[in-house]
Amino acid sequence: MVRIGQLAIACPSLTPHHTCVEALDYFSSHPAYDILPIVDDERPVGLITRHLLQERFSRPFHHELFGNKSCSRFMDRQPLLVDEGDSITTVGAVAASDSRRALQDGVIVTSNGKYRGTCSGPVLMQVLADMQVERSRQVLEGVRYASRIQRAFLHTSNENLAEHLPRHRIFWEPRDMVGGDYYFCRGDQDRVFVAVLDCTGHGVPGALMTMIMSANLEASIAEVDSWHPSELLSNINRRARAALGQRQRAQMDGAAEQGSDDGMDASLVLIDRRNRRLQFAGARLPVFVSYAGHDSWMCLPAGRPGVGYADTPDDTEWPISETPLEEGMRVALATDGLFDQIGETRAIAYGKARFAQSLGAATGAGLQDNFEETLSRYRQWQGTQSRRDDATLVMFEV
Amino acid sequence: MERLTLAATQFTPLVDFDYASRALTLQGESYPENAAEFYRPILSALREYASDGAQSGKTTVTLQFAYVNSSSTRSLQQLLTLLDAAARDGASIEVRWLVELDDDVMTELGVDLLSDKSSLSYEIVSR
Repeated sequence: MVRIGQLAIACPSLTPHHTCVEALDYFSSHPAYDILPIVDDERPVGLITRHLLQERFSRPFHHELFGNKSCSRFMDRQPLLVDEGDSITTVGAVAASDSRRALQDGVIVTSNGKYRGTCSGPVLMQVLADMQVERSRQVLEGVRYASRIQRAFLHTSNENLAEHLPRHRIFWEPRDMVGGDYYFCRGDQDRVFVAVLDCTGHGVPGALMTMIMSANLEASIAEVDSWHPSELLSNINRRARAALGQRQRAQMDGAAEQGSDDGMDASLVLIDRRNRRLQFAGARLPVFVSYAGHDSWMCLPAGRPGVGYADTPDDTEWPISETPLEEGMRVALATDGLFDQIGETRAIAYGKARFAQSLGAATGAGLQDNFEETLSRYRQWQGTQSRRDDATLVMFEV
Repeated sequence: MERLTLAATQFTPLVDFDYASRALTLQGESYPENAAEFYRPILSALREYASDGAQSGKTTVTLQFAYVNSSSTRSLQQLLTLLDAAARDGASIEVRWLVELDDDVMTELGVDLLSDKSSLSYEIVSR
């Protein structure tokens, strides 16, 4: 902790018995000091600023009228006094909230109430600004490292996607380096399981939630011993509510005022090659599929409640839907960041309808072009608007 | 009770809870870092309002959003649950959920938040 005492300059002081002329002389002979502490019997009683004194004495007759009067006439009688042991942060906070002009004029530093020195406003401001920059840099460094961890954590899913769905494209863009969006893939000889999770929050809290939710997803897969999308959602829901202590709060007025009430939206897809079907279950996130031609995409709707929240009961079941699996069919999973993005031309959300249209815009194109066209339309909609949320798009061809 | 007003910011909606004219308005976007914290004073004002005298006249609640993040959705859910409970206890409350023409996402959110509120009288108005 940096203490204000470390910044104090023990500049010489004058007393109230000194005259204004002596105070003016002080500033002429100490060009580096812009403030002059007035001390009476070791106790600081005021502060004169160079600016004010010189400005006053540039007026007509001031020399004649006040030159030999006590300099206390032009001092600030209530300068901010701080103890040498006070931390810079405390002094900064007090100075900023104080109606006195401490951040401009500076503060007087005392030791047991006795004058010790001064710290000028500009010096105090500079130190505070440097500390702020350093603190932000450290936070940012931490988040940058967290981003590496979050990306590394996607690596198993990336490998599974590469092995089991070689024709795939991923757009995964946390709004603030790390975020609450997450994708997941596992596969075996004739099945591939793909999930996209959108946890409450973004940034660091969102990223923490992805860790909890992906751990729950893995544990659910082990417990349910299948990749059945609907059963997995129910299982994760129970686990997440228990893990976050959100079961107890369900009864309370819908309000988890202090405790957490977090959860996720999710879409889970099972490509079942043996039974030639695609199974889907979603919690507030749909999935889009298209067959040959890919100019028209079908939306398989999601179930309503989110997963894991206090008011999502343990026995909630999310409906499962099925559609035939065909060679060459395409599947797109996306999070709210795409659907909810506010547009530049129209300040409303992009929406699932426009998104579905964008999927079918590149008729006859390969997966890469299909993917690029979808994203380019989304970005065009966003234009100069800021990103509101983390965004993920997972697109693949069976 | 003092009228509760908060100016809209980049991340939070305009809030105007005018007890005298029995009107609560939220308008704008809602994606603060900590939604629970932002909505806490609004929810407690609403609780206080509901407990003293919400019954004595019609209360109009106007909600108009362009963007709501998921944690704000949770808070809106709490707000509407509170209103629904007050309506069940006899208060006359009308909720107007306003959406811009063509804004499917906000329409869907309105339906999502309001359709299970059995005691509230509400309408979703697209314009």
